[in-house]
Amino acid sequence: MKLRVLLVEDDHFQRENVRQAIENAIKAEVETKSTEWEFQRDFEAIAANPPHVAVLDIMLRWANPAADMPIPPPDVTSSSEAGLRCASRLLNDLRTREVKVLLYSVLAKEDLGDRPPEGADCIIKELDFENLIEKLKQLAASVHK
Amino acid sequence: MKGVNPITRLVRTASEQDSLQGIGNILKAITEEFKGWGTLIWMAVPGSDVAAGEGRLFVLAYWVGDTSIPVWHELTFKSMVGYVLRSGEAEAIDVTDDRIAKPMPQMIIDSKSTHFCLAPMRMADGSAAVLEVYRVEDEGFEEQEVELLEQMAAVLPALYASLTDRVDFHLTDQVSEICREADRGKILREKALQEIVDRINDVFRPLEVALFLEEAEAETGICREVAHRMVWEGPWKEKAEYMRGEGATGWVFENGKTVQVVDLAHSADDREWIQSQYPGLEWKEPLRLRARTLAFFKGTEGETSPPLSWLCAPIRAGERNFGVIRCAGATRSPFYFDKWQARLLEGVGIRIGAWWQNAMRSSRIEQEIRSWEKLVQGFEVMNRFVQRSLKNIIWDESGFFIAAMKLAHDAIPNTDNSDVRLIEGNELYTAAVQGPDWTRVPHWATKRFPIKPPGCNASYVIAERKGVMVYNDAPHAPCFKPTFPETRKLIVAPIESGDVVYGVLCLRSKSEKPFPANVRLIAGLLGQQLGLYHALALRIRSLQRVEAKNRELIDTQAKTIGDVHHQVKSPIISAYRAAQLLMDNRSLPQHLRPDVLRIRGMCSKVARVVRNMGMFADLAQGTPIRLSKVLVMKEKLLRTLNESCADHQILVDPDRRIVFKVNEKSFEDLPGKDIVGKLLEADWALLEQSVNNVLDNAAKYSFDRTEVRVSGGSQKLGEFFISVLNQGLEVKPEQVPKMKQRGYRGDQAISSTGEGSGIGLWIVDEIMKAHGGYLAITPTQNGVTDVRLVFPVVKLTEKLSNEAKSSIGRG
Repeated sequence: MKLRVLLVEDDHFQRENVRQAIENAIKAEVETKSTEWEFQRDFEAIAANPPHVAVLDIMLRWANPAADMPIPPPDVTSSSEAGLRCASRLLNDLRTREVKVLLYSVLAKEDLGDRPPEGADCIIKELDFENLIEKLKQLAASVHK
Repeated sequence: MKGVNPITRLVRTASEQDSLQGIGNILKAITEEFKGWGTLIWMAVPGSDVAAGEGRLFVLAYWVGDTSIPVWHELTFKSMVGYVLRSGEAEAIDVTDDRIAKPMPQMIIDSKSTHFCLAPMRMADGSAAVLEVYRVEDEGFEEQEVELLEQMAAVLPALYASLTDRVDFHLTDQVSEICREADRGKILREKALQEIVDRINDVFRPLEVALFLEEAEAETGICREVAHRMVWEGPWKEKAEYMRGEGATGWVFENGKTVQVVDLAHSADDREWIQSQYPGLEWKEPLRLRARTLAFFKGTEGETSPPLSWLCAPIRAGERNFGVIRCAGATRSPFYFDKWQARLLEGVGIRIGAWWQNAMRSSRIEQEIRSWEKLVQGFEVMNRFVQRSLKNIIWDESGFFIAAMKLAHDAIPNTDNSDVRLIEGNELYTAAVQGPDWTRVPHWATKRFPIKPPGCNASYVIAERKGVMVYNDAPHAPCFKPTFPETRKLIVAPIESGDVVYGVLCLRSKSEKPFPANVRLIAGLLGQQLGLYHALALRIRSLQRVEAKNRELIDTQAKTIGDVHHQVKSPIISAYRAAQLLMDNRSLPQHLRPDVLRIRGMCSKVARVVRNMGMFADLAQGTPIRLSKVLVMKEKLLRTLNESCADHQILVDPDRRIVFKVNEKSFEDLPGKDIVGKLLEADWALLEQSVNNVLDNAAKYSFDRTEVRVSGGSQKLGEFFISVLNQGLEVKPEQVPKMKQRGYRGDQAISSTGEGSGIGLWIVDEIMKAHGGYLAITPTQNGVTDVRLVFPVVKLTEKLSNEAKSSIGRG
């Protein structure tokens, strides 16, 4: 069974590079979202068929500029918390709380302090993707079992 | 007038008179009726016992033509006049009549009068009087003439009373009018008081008239002379104020009752009578009144002097006595003040009292209004002082405190020596003083002293949290320490802000007058104002210390950023150049070109961010932008713009399908290789940096499937612009100025992207200003936003042209 990965990343280079790296390293099916708004909009669909792993960038834009850009809800006051909000929603919803959440960011765990929700893992973005791939391989093995 | 009844003529004559002098004209008419030499009215002095023949007779009024007679003449009841008075019968007699006292009064001898006709009268106030006509003719008075005189004597008291009533009304009316004029502000209060005194003087014709008033709404127990008129060097002129109960004047002031003494010269004899009439009034007569009076009337020692009459009426309003009006010594017959004059003076006193009460109330209100006006004006001055201080690095609080104390002295009457004492630890120290006497205060008054009641009133107010304390009797205040021995009144107001007391404001007064009622509020407000200012000063000092630390930190950070900039700049530019060289290399395989282009784009972005960091560090440290200008050539500019567009194109998410384009035709105004066209000079690196910053914004905030268009051209005279048009998030007019500020990001911009620190356009603006140009942002119209870099165009002169040619290579 292929590992199903949800990748939320607003930088299109990163998004493409990470997707390719995952697909090249393991048998995985990667679905991508580029903004927090896309994640929130599509959450019901995500919950209906939850991925095994969610790789979430933390600093995410709310939405791409558009004439009909959705108005962010009151709790969306800073883009620096976007990935954490996505993680919380996944971990707090009965349908998705089994999803393994990986916060994939340039921020170190010490920088994040106690902000990440319980149950989320943190992986620092490096020049290569070794840390991320290694983690995903472990998760893939557990899924295949 | 022939054929008219003599009584009718007399009544007509009387009705034509409107002053006391008019009685002379009435007596003249009687004299003419009888073809006499003169006519006199004798009147018994009040208190005389006619039946017992005890008392004296004075001349109430007379008419004797131009002849001068000793008018202060007085008669005993043993005289012919006294005889007629006692008999109650009119009578005609001649000079040979035995009943005429011998020797005859000098007046009769001088007049050479031979016949007299006398008729008794009863004046309107009940006083006994006699009307007497003198005749020098040989013929005596006929019986019918006696009857006529008797008839005249019957009507004369009524005519006299009517005349005095008119005088009474006239004076009261005049005083009322003066008071009204003063109330309306048409005449000054001081002038009004003098006018009243002058009108009383006109009617009473005294040796002196004086008006004494208590000049405050609150009772002080002292009335001071406010106006007077005198015709002699009287004994009272040096006494300008009286306390309640002090002498006869003070007795009237205290008791509110009129005192009327017929003859002060006889007061030693009549002291018993005075004390029976006015209990508690003890008349002292060290004044040699008889001799002084005689001297004034140019009499000689031993002669009978006229009476020195004394009349003093209270000035009253309700239960309150405000002062007195005092008349002394009548200069006209009958040389004493009659009962009707006493009543008249009382009436005048009541009228003055009503006005004065209102005037004092208005005065208090006016004084309060003036106080508040001065306070408001003073606050404006103090606020300006604070505003000026805000611009200064070092605050001098004492200047503000002195301004506040000057304001207090203006707003609160009679305050003089003041000080501001502030708390430091458990002590109070003198922060500022104001007033004329501070140069001679003892040293201890300005030293530090502990806040420990009972220490002084300041300690008391602070320790007990008593609010504003007003002491109208300062020497008896608790904890009073006389910094100035003359201090009579004291205000101690806490200097506070919120719940914090910083010190006290002490205001002193040497005056006996009590403070007005509004002082508590004024002092309280001043204390609060000083408290606010002091709190502000403390806060600003604290902020200045924090700011100094922050400045130090910012300088360190800026220096660090500057170091990072220097360290990263070279390698990233090298990487960019390497990618550029690869792109220029025709042997580079086609399939690698997108990756190299991507690397170049990334390098461009990093280089731009690093440059922004460097400029941020420079500007934050106050380092001005240094320009290294070159002539901007069309070909090179177009290449740069195209590369920048390509770099941004590669960086933007291809799914969004935003296209970057350069309108090359629009740059034709710029000089090409032939150096023909408008000359534009700029620092090349900064120009590139500015364009990239603007393009970066366009990339971030453009809508999907839109075009970012770069163009150029001339505008106005002497300006060349590079424009970046995009279709994206709306820029509202009110946002434009903010967009040039450091750190500004619009709400939608914050929502739509997590990137950005809001310094890009601020740096562009600074760069453009350094070039003598400007950054022009046109708010979104029809979905399009225009951001322009506007440069001044250099005039084409020979010199510049040469410089331009030589700088081409450097570009």
